[in-house]
Amino acid sequence: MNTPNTSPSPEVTRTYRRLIPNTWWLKQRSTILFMIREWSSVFVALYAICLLGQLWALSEGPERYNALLAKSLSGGSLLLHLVMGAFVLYHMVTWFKISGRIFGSGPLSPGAVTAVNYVVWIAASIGVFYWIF
Amino acid sequence: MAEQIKLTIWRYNPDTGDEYKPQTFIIPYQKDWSILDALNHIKAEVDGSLSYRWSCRMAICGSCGMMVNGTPRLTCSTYLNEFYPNEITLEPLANFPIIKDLVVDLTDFMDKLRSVKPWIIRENKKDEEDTSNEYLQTPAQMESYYQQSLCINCTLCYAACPAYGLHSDFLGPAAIALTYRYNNDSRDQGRGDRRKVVAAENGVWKCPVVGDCTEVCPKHVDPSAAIQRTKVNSAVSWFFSFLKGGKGE
Repeated sequence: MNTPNTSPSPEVTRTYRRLIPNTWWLKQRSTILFMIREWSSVFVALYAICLLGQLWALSEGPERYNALLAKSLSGGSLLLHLVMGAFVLYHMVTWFKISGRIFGSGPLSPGAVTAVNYVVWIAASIGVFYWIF
Repeated sequence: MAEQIKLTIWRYNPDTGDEYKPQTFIIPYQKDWSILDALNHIKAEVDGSLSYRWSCRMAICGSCGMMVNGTPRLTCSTYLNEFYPNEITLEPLANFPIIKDLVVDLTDFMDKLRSVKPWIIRENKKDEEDTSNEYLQTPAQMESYYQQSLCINCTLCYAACPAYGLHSDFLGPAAIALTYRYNNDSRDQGRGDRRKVVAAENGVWKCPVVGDCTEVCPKHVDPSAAIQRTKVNSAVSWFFSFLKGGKGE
């Protein structure tokens, strides 16, 4: 159980304080989605570590990099990357939506701000694709 | 037989011990009754000891907020016909201590509200007393804070906020929305005063962006957006303060 909230005022005595169960977030769809978003941060961090590992292998030379690449093609690794990719995508989509809520006001609607995020993401992805290939 | 509807009300009586338990009332169903009308019927005809707050009956005063089937709602603007023939469960607003039945202690909220100085502050205090001066605003200047000025302090956003429920020292949605409202008012000069409160550890940074505060707001104030924008403003202020050689405030 979590710590109960707020102390009663001095004028009010014998108030009743409800305890919040650790499963509080399971009660509503919005909080379940929120918790998934929070947990998806772990996969974002894992993804970043994988990328850093690849960069490190690249700096060590083609042999080390090719060895890592070969390991990455194993079934377990592919599954891990699929799961990480799904969570990273979910994380990204939710934050694109939230950025619309934060910055969307006046002439720039929340939808337009979110759309700009997607456009920049797609443009950057195409740029990286052409840069590599 | 006339149509009936079942209301389950969670009750607490400080004079009879620490019991917090549900009590069921079966009352006549009137399709044009709000839940508040149903509570008034129970109080007048069934059980006069039932305690709850209400005043305006038109979603202006913000007194009659309760958990309706688990969601914070104003009971004066929530109608029985939304739920009939299903049962309605009423609980006191979540995240607040219960004084009696559906009445909660809002002292913590009032203290927090006061801490952000939700009024127009002038650097020259004589400006606040001098009523002969006019401080004109363009429609665009008013538009920048109008949405947040609609807050009626009903505290539904606090009842919906898991961050406030888990960390009662969190300043909370309405207080931050009102900070945003006054900070964006062209007549106000109190942004620096409020920054000390909203940019502190228990201010905006405790908000994990769930967004339920905005979903339940009966006045469409959008506290969540106000909080996130205040985060951006606080970070920018800190950055420029840091660049100027300060510690960053």
